[in-house]
Amino acid sequence: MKKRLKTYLFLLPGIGYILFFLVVIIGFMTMQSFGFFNYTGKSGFTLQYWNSLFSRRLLDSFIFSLKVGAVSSFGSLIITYLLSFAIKGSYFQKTILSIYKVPIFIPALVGSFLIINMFDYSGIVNFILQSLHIIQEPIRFRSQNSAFLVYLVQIWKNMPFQLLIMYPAIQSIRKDILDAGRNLGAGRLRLFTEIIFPLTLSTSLIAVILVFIGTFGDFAVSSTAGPIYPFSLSRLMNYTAYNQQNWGLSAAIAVFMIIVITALVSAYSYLQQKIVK
Amino acid sequence: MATAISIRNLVKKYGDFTAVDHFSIDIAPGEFVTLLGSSGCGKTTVLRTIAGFLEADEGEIYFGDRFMNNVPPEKRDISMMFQSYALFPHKTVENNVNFGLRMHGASKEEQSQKVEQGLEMVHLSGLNNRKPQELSGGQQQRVALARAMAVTPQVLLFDEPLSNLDAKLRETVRMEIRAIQRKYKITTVYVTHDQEEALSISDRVVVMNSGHIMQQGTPEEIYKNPKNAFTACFIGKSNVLQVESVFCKEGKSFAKTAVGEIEVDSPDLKPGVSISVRPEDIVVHPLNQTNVLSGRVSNVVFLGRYKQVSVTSNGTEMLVEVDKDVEVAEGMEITYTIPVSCVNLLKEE
Amino acid sequence: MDSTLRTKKKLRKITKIILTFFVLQILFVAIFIPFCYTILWSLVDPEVGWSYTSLFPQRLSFYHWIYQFTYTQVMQGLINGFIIASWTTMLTFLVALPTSYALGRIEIPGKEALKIFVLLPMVLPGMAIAMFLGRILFYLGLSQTYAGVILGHVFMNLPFMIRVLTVSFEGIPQDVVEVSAVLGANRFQRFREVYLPLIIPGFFAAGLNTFISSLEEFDISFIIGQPKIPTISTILFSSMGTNFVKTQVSVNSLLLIIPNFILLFLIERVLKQDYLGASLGKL
Repeated sequence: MKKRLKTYLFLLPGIGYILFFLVVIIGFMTMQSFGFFNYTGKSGFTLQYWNSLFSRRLLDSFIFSLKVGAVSSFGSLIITYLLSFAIKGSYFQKTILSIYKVPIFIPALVGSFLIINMFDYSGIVNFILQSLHIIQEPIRFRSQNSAFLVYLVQIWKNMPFQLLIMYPAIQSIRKDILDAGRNLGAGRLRLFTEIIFPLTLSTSLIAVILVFIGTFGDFAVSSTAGPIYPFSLSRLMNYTAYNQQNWGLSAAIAVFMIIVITALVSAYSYLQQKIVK
Repeated sequence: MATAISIRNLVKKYGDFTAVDHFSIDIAPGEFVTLLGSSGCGKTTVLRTIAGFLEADEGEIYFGDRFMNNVPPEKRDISMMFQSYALFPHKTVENNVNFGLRMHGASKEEQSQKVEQGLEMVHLSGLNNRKPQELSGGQQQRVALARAMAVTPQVLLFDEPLSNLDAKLRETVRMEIRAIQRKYKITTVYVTHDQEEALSISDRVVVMNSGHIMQQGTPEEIYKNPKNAFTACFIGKSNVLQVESVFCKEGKSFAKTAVGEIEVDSPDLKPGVSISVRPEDIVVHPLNQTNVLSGRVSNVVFLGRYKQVSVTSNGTEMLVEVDKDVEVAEGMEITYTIPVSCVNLLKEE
Repeated sequence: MDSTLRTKKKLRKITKIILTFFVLQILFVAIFIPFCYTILWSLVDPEVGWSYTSLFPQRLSFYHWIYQFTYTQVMQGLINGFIIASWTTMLTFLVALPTSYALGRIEIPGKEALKIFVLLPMVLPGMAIAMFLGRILFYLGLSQTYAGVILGHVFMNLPFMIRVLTVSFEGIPQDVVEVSAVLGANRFQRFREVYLPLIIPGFFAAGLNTFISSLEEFDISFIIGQPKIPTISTILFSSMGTNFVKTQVSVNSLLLIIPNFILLFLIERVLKQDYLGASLGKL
């Protein structure tokens, strides 16, 4: 009995802190989305915010955020695999790996700027493209309605993280299993699809889901490097609250985002369970 | 084809260390050849070179008439059984066994048919949907065998496949391997450090040491007629004695050795060569009187079927085997004979 | 036959060299060049500028660095950042410590579920949390205070700290603890002599990580801290808005990276192991 108490007491600070804030924040969010704590008008239960949620604007932002999430996570994963194999076959592996990890330690905002800077109208990328006569006029990477720069920044920032967890996973595949595969006739592509990929599937799932969720809910990068339209969901949520003074709708967007993320995480654990079977 | 596998002057080095030193062999189709030796003798290196995982520094490898040195492993028509079995942990038994077939583009019907055949051959029918982790060591080993056989290879390579099994299982499985090999007449190259294994299942045993072939021949040949001290001592046990001088008596030739005078019947007998005698051939308390040697028992070890007795004659220790019921004790003085027919002249250094 | 063997060996070597080159090339383009480009921009001489027709700026000067430090809030931002990060790290550690001990060493039904629960703040969108936490803190009068920002930062960093410390605690062999008890150490001494030293590596890894992530944190600092408490991140963000002055922004970005590199150096030095990779990989 005393031990029980001690256990709860010990768990309290950490779990308690998180639980408290989670409940309060999400509770508050949810209530605001149903009309309570209204600053601009009367407070009371209403479904008006939820009814107005699925506007054109939100759907565009939703799709935008999904796209960013997908491209950042899956695109990075493909690059991670290719790069892992390239690094495995080269010299100075350790040094190369440590330098590749650098973007992990660079804040997303800074990464955003570093890359925007290069792709600026008068930036170095345009300079080189023009010098090589590939293009006549500089390309306006930044203000076009494309998420190209966002994809680039997110891949730049997140691929090293995926490399960090995938590389050891790939390294840990027993050599004799690969030998057995080759002995039985598997060429390089087959070796990957039949042996390497399945055996690293669990780790790739983690890599993908973490990056997906992170970039799906991103505010900073899509605000600085993103197109004028559509906004990312986070940016839309922020805009709705501060620029349009519509906190109820903003709260609904927030709750919506959390529901989507919860769905994604459930899908992830379901898949992980399936793999373990 | 005349030979299934031909290796000419194979050399493989790792930095300054020469793992395989001018190794040559011709293996006939359907022959079961075992490379026997202790760790580091080069046997696994030779095997992996045949498989294509290692490249020869010098020398050529032919499968029949086909020059194989530059052919990658996946394009060689051979199958290998690994010491660790190397089963694909994420695939079922079925998908492990049919892997090679799938790589070669066999049809679904052919795949399932061959898998059934393979599993039946190794007495594992019905375990198709199990995962390797759910099987015992012996079962895993047999799945690995079925997987290697499923592609009906021209050549089968074995890399110490039984070393992870317990003794009893080892005996049964090696007999099964031999039976299968005989039935399908597959050329086989087998690597092991276990002599009993090598002797019991091979057509030919190749004894290796430090990258060289010390001797090769049928199991009986290398046991009964070792050509050098290494083979004599590596296979079974031998007492090796140097011939100090030679003399004749009553038409028979004798060698003078550290333990005494021994009759030797060989035209190559001369001073400086060595002779070997197996402990089990030495007769203790002989009935006749020729070639009688004497010594003092320095150690007796009871090994079940027989007693291993160390006898010291003139400062030199001889190993002798006696029946389990014979009375011997440390300190005893005994006499023993070495029958002429059991004296083996070691022709090489 | 030997010559084909030799050429094959050469080919092997050449492929290795090409791959190394390729990999280094990507590194160069992806990391080295952006850095140098930004560094150059931060060093542009204001008199001469850097016209788009030339590859390198004509003249370099520290003007913009000095300007930023004297005329803008950059200095304040740096100081704030360090204050907030220090408090955040300390508080996160203290809050996480007992919980990690419990999760690491006590048999608890549903422990795995708890461990996963603890990771929740990491998967929720930062801006959403910042905004609504901000509202709540506003009601409590903690808006635009250090305390408010720190509370938020602790919330975001607890998952990682708990995770790493739990792993550290799990790794302490039970028999070492028992021996110390047998030799007469009471609970307090056991903690000081056995537990604490053995979790120091984990603490370093997680602590440094928390410090850095608090320094560069944006969403919470922006919503809750602004405008009274600028941090380098918020200053950087603001400068990337409508008044986009490349030179200014370059200096700010570099300011944000420098503490990272210093601390990164420290991590690599003090800890010999790949703690980051290991603990992240254990997720």
